[in-house]
This record gives sequence, structure tokens and C-alpha cells, in this order.
Amino acid sequence: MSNVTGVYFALKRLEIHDGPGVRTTLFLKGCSLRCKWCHNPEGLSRRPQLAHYAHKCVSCGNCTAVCAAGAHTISDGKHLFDREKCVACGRCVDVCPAEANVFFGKTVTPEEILPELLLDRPFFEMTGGGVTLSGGEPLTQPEFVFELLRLLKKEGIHTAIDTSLAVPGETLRKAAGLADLFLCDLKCVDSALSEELIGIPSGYILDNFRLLDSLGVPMEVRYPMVCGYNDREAEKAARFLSGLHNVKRVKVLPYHDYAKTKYAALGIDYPAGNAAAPDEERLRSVQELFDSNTGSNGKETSSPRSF
Amino acid sequence: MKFDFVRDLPFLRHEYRDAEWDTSSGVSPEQMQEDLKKIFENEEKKPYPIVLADAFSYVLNNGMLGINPHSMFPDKLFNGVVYEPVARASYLEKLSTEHYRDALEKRVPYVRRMRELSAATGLAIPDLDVWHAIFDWHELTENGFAGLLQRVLDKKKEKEKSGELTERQEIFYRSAEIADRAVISYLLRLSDAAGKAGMEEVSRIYAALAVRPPETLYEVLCLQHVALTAGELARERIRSLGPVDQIWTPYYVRDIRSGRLTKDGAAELFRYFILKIAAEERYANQPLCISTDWSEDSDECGLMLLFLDVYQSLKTENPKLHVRCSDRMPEAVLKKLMEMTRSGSSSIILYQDEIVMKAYEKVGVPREVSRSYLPIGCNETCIPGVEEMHICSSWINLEKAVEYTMTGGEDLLCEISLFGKTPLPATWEEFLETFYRYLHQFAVFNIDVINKQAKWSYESNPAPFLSSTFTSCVESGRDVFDCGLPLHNESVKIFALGTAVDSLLAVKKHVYENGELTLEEFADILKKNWKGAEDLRARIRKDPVKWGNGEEEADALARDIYRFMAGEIINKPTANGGVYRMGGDSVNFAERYGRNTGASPDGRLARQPLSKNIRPVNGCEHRGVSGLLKSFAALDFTDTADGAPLDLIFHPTAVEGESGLELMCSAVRLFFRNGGFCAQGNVLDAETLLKAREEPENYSDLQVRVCGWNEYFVNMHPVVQSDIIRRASGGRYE
Repeated sequence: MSNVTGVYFALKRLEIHDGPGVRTTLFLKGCSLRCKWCHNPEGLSRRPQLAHYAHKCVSCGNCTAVCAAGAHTISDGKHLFDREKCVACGRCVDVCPAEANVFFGKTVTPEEILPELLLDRPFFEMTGGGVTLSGGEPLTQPEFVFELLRLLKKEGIHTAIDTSLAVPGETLRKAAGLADLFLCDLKCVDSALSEELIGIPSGYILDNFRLLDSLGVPMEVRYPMVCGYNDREAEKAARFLSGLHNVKRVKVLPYHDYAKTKYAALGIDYPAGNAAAPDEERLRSVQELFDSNTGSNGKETSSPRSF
Repeated sequence: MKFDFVRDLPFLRHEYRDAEWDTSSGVSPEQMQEDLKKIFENEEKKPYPIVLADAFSYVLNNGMLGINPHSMFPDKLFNGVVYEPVARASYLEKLSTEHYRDALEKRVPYVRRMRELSAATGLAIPDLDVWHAIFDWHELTENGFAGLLQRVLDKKKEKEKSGELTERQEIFYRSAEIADRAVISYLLRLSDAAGKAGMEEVSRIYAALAVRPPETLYEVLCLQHVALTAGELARERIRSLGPVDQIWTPYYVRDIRSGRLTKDGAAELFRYFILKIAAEERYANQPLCISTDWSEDSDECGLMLLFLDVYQSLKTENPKLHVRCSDRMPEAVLKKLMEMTRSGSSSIILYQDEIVMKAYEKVGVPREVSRSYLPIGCNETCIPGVEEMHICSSWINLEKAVEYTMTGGEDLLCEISLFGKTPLPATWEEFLETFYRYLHQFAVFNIDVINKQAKWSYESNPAPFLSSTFTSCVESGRDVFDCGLPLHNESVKIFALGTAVDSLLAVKKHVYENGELTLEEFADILKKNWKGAEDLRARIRKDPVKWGNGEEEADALARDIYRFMAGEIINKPTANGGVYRMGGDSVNFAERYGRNTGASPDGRLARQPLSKNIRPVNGCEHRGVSGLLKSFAALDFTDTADGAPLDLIFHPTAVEGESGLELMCSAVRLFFRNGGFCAQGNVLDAETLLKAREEPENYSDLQVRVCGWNEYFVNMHPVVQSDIIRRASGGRYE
């Protein structure tokens, strides 16, 4: 048993959007970027967090009885939550009948999480699927990720890493030797705009794209398209990607604002107030742009996943 | 007469709701009711099977006709009551049902009282299952109605000649003869009416079917619909149209070879036929079966893919599609069925032949006999022409045994105590022992109540027309409900396995392991319906060790209960020399029995639904389909010859594209590889999402996946939920 531990916030089974075949995706906590449109805000902080969904709360008071920090109180029959006081012990989650308190962040060793990931092995075998490590940014927990990838490799499981590439080159190099596929986000090519939208200049990320490419690692690139923010970057991004040799597919992911509820529950202001989703025609044309520039075959899975 | 489907469509979908009857073609409803009552009053003078056959004949000869000039299947018979969607019970059915109940009340009043008490406690409703039937479609289509009649006449004469004919047999033959002649008369009436409406081709077909077996695909479909009408009329609910690939293909091939029919022509026939069945809105929908023991290049495969294409294009749920999956089932058929499921059809149920036949072996039926099994009803199976059709004789609520063990035999919601008092168990081992003792008593009680009623099934419910389709009944001169078939089997089902297992685990943990409270205190909490113990309830509901998650402890307990009940039910003798089979399907009884069941230790509130079938409790599938499949692999489905379904639930966004389809196919393959019996796929629809919004605690695991982002549906803001529901329903709801 290794000493290393990791913190994750979700485990999603039978996924078909995170790499080839049917996959199990583990979402790890912690990310150094602050993309304005981030749709997994519970993955930003490495620390475990409590989300309080106020619209579900029935003010029963169960949580006040178990909260030693005094973060939950009832005043005039109404529940109040003081996030500053919360120490994320998670006790209020178990006793909440309305499921208004949700805990994001479970700490495990690679050996502990492995059986959960292997539960879906029959599906991996039947469909050529495997495990995808996502986040947050999974490579902010490199030792955990490396060990988990080693264990999965030993089991013969196909692995993919879903990364922003905003990580040290050395970490990437090491991960490249262990994972079978990289799912890389390309959000912005213009450096100044990148700093404004995601928190760092683009050069660092573009260098890492080139690094992975030079290592011959197969990549699937995701371009999140957020109107009002990065939608004018598509041409530059396509041009950049056309210079790489190992991009197997580019998928355009349209923006949506469904994460707003999660932001509110976590007590974080929603940062993408002016963002809008692209219309279908614009989305299609951008996908075609990427396909023609990179020779990728993104059409099948990149259309908006409507119901 | 030329048909134009687009033009005809408005006159097809609601043909029965908006029926126009030719008042000159038969008697008025009032007259029919009066005359039928008089026929039933004859019971004092005539044997009941004859009375019933007379009444059947009266309706077929005198009921008003409503020929639909827009349908290739224009037949329609007014059965004595104004049409009501779903439960279209005829007046004849009303009278025969009254007779059935009166006969049993008269013969076995005490048993009927016990049955009522049992129902009031939410434990079980042991009954005679006379509500499911299946023709021997092969016999019916090979002989035609005239052939069936001739068989009856010949056999009767033969027995008369040899001096073997008993009075009981004479009554049977006479009732069957009256019934068969009545259907033939009905065909001639239809022929005449269709001719008058200018529908010459179908008029000729009805006339031909009155004297010979069908010769074309069109004719065999006409015969099936007329037989269904007659069967439903006499409360012989025909719960399958038979293995249609086997029945239809020979006619189709002959038609195509002779140039009588084209592929498009066959598709046209299917369009009209499917809508005819759908328009009738039979209770629980009308099933048909597709067997798949053929290769991808076979005529059967080609015809069934054509049929499925037509079915899908009509966007209907009726008829229901039962699919027997053989080892040879072509990949293209599975893919097609999953594609249909994905596009919203929840009417497809897949059965694994190998497991069904192994289950039959356990109740003494060899493969050469069970090979012709047919799914009938919801998930149940029956061997047409061989086995009696008592597929739903009772349902046992497993949770009730937990309740009695907790309270020492006291019912939480009423004063009825059917099994006496038991001491409160001091240890977990004693608790389990008492629990199993109750389950044993439940099984003995149910079987006893069923057997005592079953002795009177012929007196209470003969079925002359149905019986005439079975060679074995005609040979023996016995009605199907008078042991006319070789296997006199009954079936008892178990359900609420999820509620029972989760409840047991909660008691074990909180009473016997961590000593958080005593059994009396826990029982008291249940009596108060969890009032004042909401935090304990919340903790129990969130405990991850629950049935359906591939957790060893829960799976082992479920396996033990399943095995125990199999030992208590399977091969126990029936009243008429057959054996009992077990099933694991709750139909709608999870809600109905739940209304009479007190709060349970798993956190369920009093009167709320119990877990369905052998499924986990709603909202407790923390490890998704993989966890569910692992748990189900712990059960031996060869114990449940009467069917135990797995509902596979997917979200639309999880099954998009080719990968999504492959995921659905893989789930079915995996379930079958693990020994699964039957499976039904569901891709969540807007209605489910609406329910999830209303009852979030039952849907806490429902995940929504949109554009790379995932969230639990119940955690989403109401406005966002509305948006998703709006999308899922195409704007119908929000």
C-alpha cells in the first residue's frame, strides 16, 4: 500500500464522452487555472468542500446538532450557513434529510480507489474503453496519478488523462510514459487574452502541447467555445493545432451555464456573467474549421449533446 | 379498394375510442345486456360451460359491427359496454367475472376471507390466475377456425363411438363446438359487412377464414385479430400474439415467391396491423414475441427487421415486444432493438433462452418441451399448449417479514395478525432466524390459499374457445381450466427484495452491531413513521452498503433470501398435480402493497412504494449499472422460471452516438453473460425527470450529463431542472 493519497470529487461510470469506448472517469480536485466559464467549480480547490444547496434545505435543524464549528444555525425557523466557520468535516451531510448538504472531496489511496475503477472492467473489455482521470486538473496531484496509472496499467486497463496542460513539463513527461491517451484543453491561443480568461499566459500551455507532440503521445483536443470570451480564438487554435502531428481528434464543446447552481452552493460568485452558448450553425462551422485544419474526425461526437 | 396510409392515419389511431357502430347490424347495448343476463340466469338449467359458450355465441352473432373502411383490418365488434380506454371489459366479461367470484365465495368462503385479510396487511393476494391466457397460435393458424371445429366434432364422435365419452367430456365438447361455430358465424358477418362497405378483398378473406386456414400473410394477420377479439370477449385475456417470426415468415416467403406481395406491401400490412392493435388500448398493452434462433441472412431476420422498422416509425408502445434471445441472435437485431429503446421505446423486453430453459429444467420440464416457451404478460413465461397459464397466482411482499420480526408479529398499520406473536430476537442470528420463519409461513400460507381455490377453477372459470385451440384439451375432452393441458403449474412471485435487504442491513448495523438503539426503540420509530428520528433516517438512507451496488454483504443477504424463497416455492405441489414456479416481478404491486405496509428500517416512510421487482430501492444505486449487474450476478435466475426482470436505466446523454449504442448492447450482453433472465432498457424520459423533481429522495443518484459537465439532477436549481425537462420533452413540460 502506497503512502500517497489523492482527493477526488466525483466518479462517473459508463461514460462515452471521455475517450474511446465505455469509460469510468475519476474527477480529481485542484486546479491552478481560473477559467471564467469553468463548469466544475468544486474541482478548483484541492481542499474538501461542503456545498450547501439552499433551495433544497427544509430548515429541519438536524445539521445544527452535529456541527461542532457552529457553521449551521437556525434563526427564526430559517437555516443559516456561515461558510467561514465550516471546517468541512462532513457530519452535516449524513443527517440532512433533504440532501441539501453535499460533500466534495474524498481522500483515498490509489489502492483504495482501484476496485471502484475496476468494477466497470467488463464494459471496458467489451467496448475498448478504460479509465479517464479528469478534474479539476488531475496532474496537480501527480504522485497519486502516477501510482494509479501504474496500477491500472498492471491490470491492463486503457487510461486517459483529461488535462489543461497547465502543469510542469516534467510532470507531463512522466505522465506521458504512463497514460495511453491525453485529452487536452485548448482554450485560448492569444497570450494576453489567455491571462485574462484563464489566469495564465498561453505560452506555457502551447509549449506543453508541443512537448506532448514531440513525445508522440496521441491527443484528443477539446475546444470549449464560449461566446463573448474565446469564440474568436477558433481560427488561431486551429492554425496552431495544424502544426502538431499527434492530434487524433478535435472536439468543440459548447458553453452552457448549468454550473450556476453549483457556484451558488459553494459560495462562489459566477464569473462568466456575459458568456453565451454558440448557436448550432456557428458550432458546426467551427467544428468544420478544426476538422479541415487538423484532419480530425470530430464530427460524430462534437455536436451539441442535446436531449 | 385502395388504401392510402397517410390519408387513413387519422381514422386508425383512435378507431375504438371514436368508433362508429352500424346500429342495423346488431342489437342495442340495452338489449344485449338484458339478453345476456337471461342467458346467465339459465345456469340452474344448463351446465355453466354451456351457458358461457351460449353467451359468447350470442355476442358474436348479435353484437353491432363497426367496419372501418380506412383499415386493412376493418373488423370491430361492439361488446356490450361503451368503450373505455385501457379497461375495455365487455358486458359478458362483467357477468362471467361475477360468476367466478360468486362460485369461489360459495365453495371456499374461509379461504377467500383469508385472502382478503392478507391483502389488507399488504402481505400478498393469493388468487387463481385466470387473467392470463395464450392460444396455441401454431395450432390455430395451421387449422383455421373451421379446422378447430372439425377437430372438436371428430374427437367427440370418436369418443362416443368407443363408448368412452363421459358427461363432463360431452359438456366440454359441446361448449367448444358452440364457441368455434360462433367465431365462424362472426367471420361470415364480417365478410358480409365488409362486402357491403365495398371492401371486397378483405370480405373474401373473412369468408375464406370461415372455412379454411389462412394462406397468405394478410390472411394470417386477419385471423389473429379476429381470434384476439373473440378471446378478449370471453375474458380469456390473450397475452401474446405468439412467436410472430415463426408464424408469419412462411406465409411471407410464399407470398413473395408467388409475387402476391412485395416487401413494401408487407410493411403496409404491418403498419395497419400494429395500429389496429394499438387502437384497442388493451390493459397492460398487447404483447407479441420475436424469437431469434436464426441467422442474419435468414428470411425470419429480414422480415423482423422490416417489422421493427415499421414499428419504430409509428412511435407506438403497443404491441409490447417480447424478444427471445438465442445464442444465434444476430447482432443487427440487438442493435436495432437498442436503437429503438434509445429513441424512447420502453416496450421491449429481452429474454435469454438458455436461462429460461434451465429454469424450466429445475421444475422438471425438459428442453425439448420448454424450447417453445413464450413470454406472456409482463415478464412471465409459459409453454403454450403444454402448461397452464397461472403465471401470477400471488406476490409475496418480502419486507413484511422484516416488519413482523421487528414487532413480534404485530402489523404496523392495522390490527390483523395472521401469523401470531413471536418473541423479539435478542441477537442478529435470532433476528434472521425469525425473519426466515415468517417467510416460510408466508410461502405455506400462499400456496395453501391458492391450492384451495384452484380445485374450483373449472367450475368458476371455464374457457371453451381457448381450450379448442389446444390439441391436448381436444384429445382429452377437458377444458384448459379442467387440467386439459399436461402441466398444471402455478407461480408465486416475490418482490421488495431491495427494501427487505436494506432494512435487514439497517437493523443489523444500528441495533445489533453498534447498539445505537434497541429493537423495541427501532420498532417504535417505525410506528411513529420516523417522526423525531429524521437524522437516523437520513443516515440510514445514505449508508452506501445497499442491495444493487455490488456490495458483498448486501449481495450475500439477497442471494440467501432468494435461494430460501426458491426452496419454499419451487416444485411445491399444486392442487392439480403440477408444481409451483417462482417469479421476481412486482408489476404494480410495489405501490399497491406499499400502501398497506408500515415504515421500514431502510428509511422508507409508511404507505410509500416498496422496491420494485427484485431491483434496488430507488435512489440507492450508488455504483451505477456496473454495481447493479454485479449484484444481480449474485442471484441464480434459473430459480425464477416465471421471470425476474432487470430494468436498465440510462440517461439520454449517456447513450448518444455509436458508442452509446454499443454501451447499451454491452450492458445487455454482460447481464446475460452473468446469467440474467430478462432485461428491459430505459432511456429516461421527461416524465421520469418530472418525478425526480417531485420526489428527489428517490432519485438522488440520477445524474445528468450535458456537454462534458455532470451533475445530480436533484441538486440542480429548479430553473435549470425546468430547462432540462423542457428539452427532454420537446417543450411539452417545464
